[in-house]
Amino acid sequence: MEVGQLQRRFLEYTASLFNQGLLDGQFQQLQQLQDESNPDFVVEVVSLFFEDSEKLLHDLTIAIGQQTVDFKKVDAYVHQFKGSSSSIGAQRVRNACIAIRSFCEEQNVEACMRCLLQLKQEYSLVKDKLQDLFRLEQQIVEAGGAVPMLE
Amino acid sequence: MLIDRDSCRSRLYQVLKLLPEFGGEVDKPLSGKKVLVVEDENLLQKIATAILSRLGVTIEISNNGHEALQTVSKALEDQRTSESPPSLPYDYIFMDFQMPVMDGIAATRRIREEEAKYGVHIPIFAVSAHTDGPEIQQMKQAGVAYNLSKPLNIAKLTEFLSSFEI
Repeated sequence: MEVGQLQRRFLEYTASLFNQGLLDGQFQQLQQLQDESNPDFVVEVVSLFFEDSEKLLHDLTIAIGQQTVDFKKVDAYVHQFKGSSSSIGAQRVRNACIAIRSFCEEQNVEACMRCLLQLKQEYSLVKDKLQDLFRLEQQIVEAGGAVPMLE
Repeated sequence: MLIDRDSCRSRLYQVLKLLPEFGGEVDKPLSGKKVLVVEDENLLQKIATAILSRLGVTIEISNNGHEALQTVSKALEDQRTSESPPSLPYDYIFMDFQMPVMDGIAATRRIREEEAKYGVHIPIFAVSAHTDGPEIQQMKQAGVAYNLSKPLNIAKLTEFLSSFEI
């Protein structure tokens, strides 16, 4: 596929992620911060996000699965996840975190568990989509083109 | 207090001129400033660093409130013993709220106590997910100048820091 087509595909794909509410303006912020002095900034930041998220989800699963749930602990994990997801613009992940927090306040274990499942699904979805996006970027660069930015 | 329309307008233009959207100095509008970023999470450190570097700021990082206190104390002590004229070791401190070892509120309080010995005052901005509530009150009581909400944003930060200077 030639460069122009790849670039169009990339822009359409990016636009769809914003339209579906998977990403918000904060992701564009990250793209703006990428430049010649920081050429892999977005990939690096998102990779850090994946690492942090996987650990948080693991810790959350254990915390919510305890006989006696420590809601303060659960809330602390979710607060962190909310912060990191909002800092990269993973809007639906952030919203899933907000949902868990309200059930934490009510100390509703079952609802927390349901929300955790939802959170895992949203995370999985945005992770797959972002990895697809980076693959498209790579194809553009390998074909000798520049990665376009969505206006 | 009444502010006349002209000075309001000129102040607005001064701030707007700095923004890239208005043909402002894209290159380093806050060049020469030195900021201490106090944040425990790698991801957020990386983003704060990129945003502040883009604005031309020199950054140092402390991983928690305790490290920040040590860093600031040492910098103030070093300045006292140096020959050069006194100046603030940092133009601003960006302080995260929730951190291990020592949190943002305790760190702010302790830094203020330390500063009092030297008669200086470094503006501390909280970087918090909260926009109101008891935590914000506590921050203000501890000595925080302003709460920058998370996540940090280049345009909002540029506008805020520029107007803070004026």
